[in-house]
Amino acid sequence: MNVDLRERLHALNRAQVVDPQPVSPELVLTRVHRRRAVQTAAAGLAAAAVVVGIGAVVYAAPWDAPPMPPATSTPTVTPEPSPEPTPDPTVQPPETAAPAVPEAPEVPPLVAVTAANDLVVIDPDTGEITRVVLSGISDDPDHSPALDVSPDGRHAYITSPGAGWPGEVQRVPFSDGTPEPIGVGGSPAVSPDGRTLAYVGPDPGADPEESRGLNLVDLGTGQLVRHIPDSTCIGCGRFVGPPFWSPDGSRLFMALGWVDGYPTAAEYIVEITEDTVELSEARQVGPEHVPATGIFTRWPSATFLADGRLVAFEASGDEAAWRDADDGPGLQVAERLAIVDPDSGAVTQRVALPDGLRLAGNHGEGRTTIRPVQIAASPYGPSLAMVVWLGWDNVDGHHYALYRWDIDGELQHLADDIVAVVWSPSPVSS
Amino acid sequence: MVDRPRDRALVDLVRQRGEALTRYAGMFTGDVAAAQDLVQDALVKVFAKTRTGREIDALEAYVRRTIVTLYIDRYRRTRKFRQVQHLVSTDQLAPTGPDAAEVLDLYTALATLAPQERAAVVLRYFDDLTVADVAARMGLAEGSVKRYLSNAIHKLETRLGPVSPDDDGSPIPVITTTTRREGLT
Repeated sequence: MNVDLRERLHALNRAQVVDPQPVSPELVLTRVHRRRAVQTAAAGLAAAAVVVGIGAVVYAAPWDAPPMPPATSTPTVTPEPSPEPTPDPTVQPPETAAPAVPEAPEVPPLVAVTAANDLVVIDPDTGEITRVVLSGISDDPDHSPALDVSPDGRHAYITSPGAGWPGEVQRVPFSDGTPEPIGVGGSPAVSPDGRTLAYVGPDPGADPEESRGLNLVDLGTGQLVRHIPDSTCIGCGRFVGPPFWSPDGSRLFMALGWVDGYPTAAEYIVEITEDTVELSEARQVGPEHVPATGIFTRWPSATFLADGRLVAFEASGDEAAWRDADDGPGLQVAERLAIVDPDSGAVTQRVALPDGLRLAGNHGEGRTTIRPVQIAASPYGPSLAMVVWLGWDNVDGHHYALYRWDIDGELQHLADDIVAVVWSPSPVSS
Repeated sequence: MVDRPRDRALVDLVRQRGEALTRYAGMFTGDVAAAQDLVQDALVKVFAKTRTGREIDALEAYVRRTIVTLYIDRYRRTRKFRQVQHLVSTDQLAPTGPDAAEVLDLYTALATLAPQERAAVVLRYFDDLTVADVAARMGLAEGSVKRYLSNAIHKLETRLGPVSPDDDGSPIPVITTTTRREGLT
């Protein structure tokens, strides 16, 4: 007589000796609160968003292109979690120095993805949407909208979700807004010379659900010329941030971490060089993570300034430091920008975020936590643009806004409901 | 602390369905303590998301899916489940009735399966999912699921004797393979 596997499995299910209340709701609730706080603080989970902003006035900003101090003569500031999410006293004041960045013949526009999933062009001075290039990129609310623009301003590269991961990288000419497929994956980044496209995608020929790595495509031929596998983890909750190129096009960087979002999960920038064959062997640039201490420092988003310095959004705190507030417990997190020498990996300066951002983030469950989901630098100056997560509510879901910050200048709100943005290197084609 | 609607939904779900969820997780882990951890982690993952709904039934279904995902992901990441399988103890079972011995046999037989095989068996024969649905749930190709099921049934039959044919009436083919994907950690 054959064994009825279905019946036997159900009998086994009933036979398990399980406590009638096997899980403590209070314990789960505490963990949920902590995790929400960490997620909010550390940003980047959804690989959403970006930003930018710039104008001619930016070029004279005081923090504009301070000379890079030698790593040996400027000690790295050790990230110390602040008991209060206020500017860190170790933050160095902005320096004034002669800019060494190219002159901008014309202020290039911002190219962005809206919360309604439209690809749009935005005036960086006013925040006005001047053109809708493509409507309805996705109807998936969890769509990761990372994008980039070619150096000549003729094409946008976007991520279309398809049927979820891995999605599809598409090229959209600004002239007619008709997308064409480039490859399977997402988070495209065009090299400074416009010849190569890097994007996160599966191993060639492998099950897309089982693999993930970095693909490089020759935009002249459309051929995949290199795949860099992530051998440290396959399909297991890895956070892989959008790649970004060094200004000279010789190196690629990307944020790497774990989706779990716990403070014990490291998240840092990795550098991929020509000699590097796997992400796991790439050089880590950023804070050393020490899980046993409960102190964490994360760099979920970073970009290059026009003068070659790397700037990372940094969130750090102590897992053991919690505050009690009327609306529940929260994690004390210090947030700032870390200016990094990409050659040595040393942090040469830390800059506190403007108070305006903290106030902007003081909504709903975001409370006092800032969440710049992506930072992007102007190609002609040190000005930053940020897409900031403002909070969430039961009616409208997530709220985002686009800000421009000249660091030592005034924080400027440009637009609401922008979930991703990049600063076009050139005026875009009409 | 539980005044917020989402928190209240979590507490209600745990109190009403915590035991059922733990039993379900136990089908994968084979160990009640590990099942409790798995359920707790799945709850945290689901409720940490900001768009979680509040309907108990929908939430339970979501948590069950997450239990499977976490179980598979943990296997892929650490393979610890394979390392602790020998620690499984039948003290966690209290079968009664005429089928008690057979339940114990199945419990022991399931412990011989690889995690992917066990997940496929539970999803296919306990959750009654189609092969296509199992493949979608596990993030695998249908062919891979068929191979896992075939190997699993072959292993179970060595301890339990012949099992019932699949729904289409055809005997479950035995497919053996030694090919293993490298690079998993």
